[in-house]
Amino acid sequence: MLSLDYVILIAMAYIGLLFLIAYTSDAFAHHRIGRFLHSPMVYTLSIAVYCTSWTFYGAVGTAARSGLEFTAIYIGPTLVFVGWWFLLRKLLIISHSQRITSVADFLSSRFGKSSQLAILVTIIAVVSVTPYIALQLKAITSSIQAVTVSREGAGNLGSFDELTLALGVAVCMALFTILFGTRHVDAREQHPGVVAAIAFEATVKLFALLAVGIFVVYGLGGGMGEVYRKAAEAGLEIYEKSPFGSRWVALLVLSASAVICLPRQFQITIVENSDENFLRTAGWAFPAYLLLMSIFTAPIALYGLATMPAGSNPDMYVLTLPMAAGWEGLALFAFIGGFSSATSMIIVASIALSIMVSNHIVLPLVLRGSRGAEVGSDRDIARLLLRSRRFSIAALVSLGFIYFWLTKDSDALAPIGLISFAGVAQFLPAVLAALYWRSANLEGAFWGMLVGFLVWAWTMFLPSFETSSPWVASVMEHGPWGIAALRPQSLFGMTGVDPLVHAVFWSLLANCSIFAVVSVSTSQGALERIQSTLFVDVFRRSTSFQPQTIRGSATTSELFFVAERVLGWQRANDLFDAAGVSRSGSARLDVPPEFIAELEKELAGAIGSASAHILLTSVVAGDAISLEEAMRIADETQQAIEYSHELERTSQELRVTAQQLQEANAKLQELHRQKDDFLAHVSHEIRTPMTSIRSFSEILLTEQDLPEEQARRFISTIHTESVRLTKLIEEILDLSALEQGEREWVNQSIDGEEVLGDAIVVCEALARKREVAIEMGPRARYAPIFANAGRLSQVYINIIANAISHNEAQQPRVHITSWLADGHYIVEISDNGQGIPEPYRKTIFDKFVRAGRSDLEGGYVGLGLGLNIAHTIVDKLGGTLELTRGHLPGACFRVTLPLDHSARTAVEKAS
Amino acid sequence: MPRRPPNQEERGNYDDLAALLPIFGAVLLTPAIANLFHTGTSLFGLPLDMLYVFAVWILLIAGAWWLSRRLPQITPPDDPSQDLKVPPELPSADSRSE
Repeated sequence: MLSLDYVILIAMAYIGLLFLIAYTSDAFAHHRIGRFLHSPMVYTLSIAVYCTSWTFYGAVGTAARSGLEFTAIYIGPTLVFVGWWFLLRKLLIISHSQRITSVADFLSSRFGKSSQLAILVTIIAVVSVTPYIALQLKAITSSIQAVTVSREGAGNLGSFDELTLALGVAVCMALFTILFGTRHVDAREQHPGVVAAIAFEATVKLFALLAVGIFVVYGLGGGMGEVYRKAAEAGLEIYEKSPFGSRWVALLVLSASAVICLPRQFQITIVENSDENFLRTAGWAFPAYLLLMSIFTAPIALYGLATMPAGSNPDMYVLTLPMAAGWEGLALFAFIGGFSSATSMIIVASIALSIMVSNHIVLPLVLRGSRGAEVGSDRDIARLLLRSRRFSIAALVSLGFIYFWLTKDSDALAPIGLISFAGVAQFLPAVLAALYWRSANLEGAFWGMLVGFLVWAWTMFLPSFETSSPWVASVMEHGPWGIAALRPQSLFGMTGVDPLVHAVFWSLLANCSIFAVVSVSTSQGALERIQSTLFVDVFRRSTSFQPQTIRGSATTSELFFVAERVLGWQRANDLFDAAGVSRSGSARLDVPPEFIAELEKELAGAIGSASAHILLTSVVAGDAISLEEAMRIADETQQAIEYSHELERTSQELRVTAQQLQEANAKLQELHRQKDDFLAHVSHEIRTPMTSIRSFSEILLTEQDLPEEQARRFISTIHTESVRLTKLIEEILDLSALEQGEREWVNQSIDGEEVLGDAIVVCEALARKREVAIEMGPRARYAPIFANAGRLSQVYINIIANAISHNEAQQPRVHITSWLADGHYIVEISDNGQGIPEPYRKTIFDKFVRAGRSDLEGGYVGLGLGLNIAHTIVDKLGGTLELTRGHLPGACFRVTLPLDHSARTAVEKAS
Repeated sequence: MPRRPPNQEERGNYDDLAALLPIFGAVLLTPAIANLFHTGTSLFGLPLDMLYVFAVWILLIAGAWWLSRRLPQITPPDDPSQDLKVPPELPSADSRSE
């Protein structure tokens, strides 16, 4: 047994340690040292304020009474934190950018900076959370009793009784909270000292519970499996007593919403957060913390049930099991762990609630009363806030104490945790809509929440007084005024459902449906519309955008006066200097609206958005925000998105255009090079005949006594060369005409065979002169094609003439054959000459390419343009001209032309 | 240990996974599925139903830990760097340094 004085001394010493930690952390933070305080781990541990004494002691009790149900209270928050990327991240970023100070401020800011909504949220929070504070006091006194009760069961509270103890704890907690929670009114309601103390307490309670768990399971029980075996031997049901059902789901929903909406969780997770990226760690570390907290819960409960005497309170197994084993030191450690859970909850909850009460209830009342006109000294509003916060803290803890006092004889406190969860769960629809539903509006949120709250009060809060009030008992039995349909635990005849499920179902159903229906059927105000865009589209907003919700003019001195009253002279002065606003000017229209918006934001960080808005509108004379501006802001988001898409598309187009330009440039250069080549060739071709013409004519001019015969030969050479020049120029002109696109080029339906026959006749004279035999292979009888007869004839003549004139065989022969195949008319002209040497086969159709040697006998030498012209013509006719291997060993050219379709079908029909 | 920053596509996948993780967790813990393990049997001396709940819980934590190392940094909208989007084909400075 531990002596009471000793336990109280230890508890006091522990509170003293908390003071020390909070004090040094505050000092560190003030001097910007102590980086470890500003770390994701401290943040995660401080979130563990979620685990109150209700979970520290009560989880074992719940496990003993109803099995796995206790895990639901932890798994709900696990699901929320594991999904941090969606919900908590958005909540955090919005809250930081809007300088949100509490959950009431968050909802009021989103729904048009409404005071009435903030007041409603504050009242619901106070009503739901005050009993929860009482529960903590109850847990502390019960645990002190548990560790000081002797094994014989005789109470040993001595001169103290339960009430004095609870009062002492309440006073200590209120003092601590006032000292460290209300040191100053900050731009962002952050309390590094308190956070450090809470994180420390989280460590203590985790290690205390783990120590007890390891001791019970491995020290006393002999291992996990052994604990279960013994429990089964003792006749206990070790399996889940009833299947998972609606109560399990309701608990998951409640605990998930509690970890978002409970004022203390919002305070720690959102308001006290100093770096958004801490969520990354908290997203997995906080669930891991919860897992560790609950890993030994079920074994402790089973071991306690199996070994402790019947009738002992399972809620206190964490303390009584080590006590019964004689490990008083461990029991004391466990007591400190439970004490930590209780005190941390009281501290954070009262800070969060006091901020809400002072910002949303006290300040608006004062501002409305004075109309902001009274002359005040430096920071009088700030001082008023601090005073009202201190008073609120004292009042809240007193309320908790009074609640505890009134109900100390009943066990009604036990389910208070869940009642509290269900109360704040009424915020959940509005919080989710604030983040994701653009057209949710104030009317909907207000009425939904109000009705949800009333249903909750009727179905859940009222029944908690059943044992202490006969009237409540009779209402529950028969319904009010005898209306059975309104009985609190069986509304509209819904019976046979767990009371918790019943209350959660009806309250959230009423809340959500009224919220949705009213939101859809009423419209948003201008300010609401702006705020909804700022909240819902927080990730899409363009950076420079600053909503100007207050328009009009004010003298700078008036503005400065307001700022000074809230922020103090120094901060206000810094703010005005940074914005470049001179304070001396008293003329109106001096202050840019951007600055008023900035100032409003700054004030909102201290006194909440609704109060800041009231305060500034009382000073700034002018019209309220126009609807046009609201529309502009709504459009801005859309425009930003469109602009970004536009940019992306344009840059893609630019890339494609650049690519095309590059290709066109390469093509141009290639053409340019070809033109240069062509010019060089032509000049070369012209120079040779020109040179001989010039030199021979010079000789003829200067040498008077030239023999007649020689002179004739010279003149004949000059003539030949001029013919060659003319021929060359004709061919160049011809080529150029072909390439430019000839004007008189007309295609007609003709017979290809006829054209080929004419061409052969033309060439026969040349063949006879050269003594070349023209042989006829098999010929097509009739080849209808759509072509220009003159040009086609030019192609055939060119090829046949080439075959004749370049043939140096002993018995030169030219072989001509033609046939129809696959809708094409094909002509092959081959000779038995040298053929085209391998290196030229690829380039034979290019300009100025001449295969073979120059003609030594001075005969006609090709210019290298003929085949090129032929190739171009065939191309134009839609056919191909190619070099193949044919009948005779020499070169073989094949001309393939498409048959004329209409004529062909006519032929087929005729045959 | 420096980690390669995820590219656009991977980032989208991680975004989706971050949404799917809690949804899967919630689905696995609905009575419909959880009751499949309510068999009254035990594994290693421990009740199967409890083991199942804790296994899902641990998987959720592991999944959140895995994702927390891959999801991009949170940049508040006031940060101008968020608006300057790097075109996807340009390698970022970080990926080049590896």
